Amino acid sequence: MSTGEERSAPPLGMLESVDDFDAINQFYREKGLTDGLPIVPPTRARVNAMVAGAGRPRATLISQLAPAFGLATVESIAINAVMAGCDPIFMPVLIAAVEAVSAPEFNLQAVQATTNPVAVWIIINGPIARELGVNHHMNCLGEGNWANATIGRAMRLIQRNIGGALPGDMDRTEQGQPGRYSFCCAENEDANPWEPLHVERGFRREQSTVTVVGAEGTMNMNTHAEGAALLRAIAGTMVHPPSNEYMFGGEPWLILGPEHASKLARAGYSKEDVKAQLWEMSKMPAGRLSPIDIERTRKMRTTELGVSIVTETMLPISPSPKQMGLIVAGGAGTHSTYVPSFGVMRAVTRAIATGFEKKI
Amino acid sequence: MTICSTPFVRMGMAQANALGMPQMPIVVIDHPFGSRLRDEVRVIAEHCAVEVARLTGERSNA
Repeated sequence: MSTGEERSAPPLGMLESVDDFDAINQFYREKGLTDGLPIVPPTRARVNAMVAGAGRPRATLISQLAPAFGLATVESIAINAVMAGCDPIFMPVLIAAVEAVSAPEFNLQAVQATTNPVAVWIIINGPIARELGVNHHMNCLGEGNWANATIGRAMRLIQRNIGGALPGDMDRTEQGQPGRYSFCCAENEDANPWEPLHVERGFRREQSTVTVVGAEGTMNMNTHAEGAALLRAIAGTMVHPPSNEYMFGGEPWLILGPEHASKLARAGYSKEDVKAQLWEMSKMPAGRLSPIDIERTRKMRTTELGVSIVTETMLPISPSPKQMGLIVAGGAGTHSTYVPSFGVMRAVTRAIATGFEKKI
Repeated sequence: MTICSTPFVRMGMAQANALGMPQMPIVVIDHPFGSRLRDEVRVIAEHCAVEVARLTGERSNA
């Protein structure tokens, strides 16, 4: 089976009407089809409007999502988008996000079924972020913005209802994390003194993209430091022994606040310099790991590192500085955020196909 | 056929079902597995090999 084929709709059905909001929500709740919050009933009219926002035939197969390998068609994505409260114009973003999580290097099977708390973090770049009103500024990872909240929520519902990742069933996450309700923001490209994420990853500045990251959570860093001292503060936060990054050779992510990014740029650091410095400064003695975790690290990273790992070995957080992700986002302040990754996946960026909705 | 530690058996069954293979045999090992010492892993592997052989035989004789 290949993507782009037309497929019949999945079992998750549409409703003909919305006579009783409470009864409909009770039904979805009992079926395990929600994230624990009330859903917008996916009536036929709402789903049709959402499909129109995609501008593609409703039966078009975008992907099959692990671990259940359910069919992610335009229509099944649209149903979940309605349930999450999305506007129809958000559909191209969701379709690109589904394509991105389906890339082999994202390792969706592991992301969906692991005991790790990993959540899919969606980063939106390019002109579409402004067009859709995706928050890149103050509280961009917090509550209150419709696009951020509903796009992130729709991704989780897609993971559950199409991918079959139901906690306690095929999803084995041990504690989970709040980002599993919704985890989406745009990059503050205007405040980025370097090239934005999508340009760094090979797209044109005027293109719109979605990047998906397997994120373990967020760690705030509040510091008035500058230059090398700022980098040391960040690197010191990245170092934590019970970490997938150090055991597997990961892909750590940073959200630099505009003030921190500006300070580093003014001090003469390029984006590549920042990554290279942080990669070097965040090397951790293997002896900080417990003995059994050193043994696990030996199994996972001896070939990559090309050395025999002993307690004195300085472990890099990722195979090279290139695996480090860095965006600029947020508003005024002295805060940046470290986003440790799941470690055994790589972020994926896909172009967002826009303009379809104008043709129909 | 697949091998699961105890907490993952339900996941394995659900995925087998989702992939249209509800009868797929699963060999179960005790959890946790990842923190076992080498000698413990050897004992588990020997038991596991016996189970794999038994279930393979059952299927080939079916």
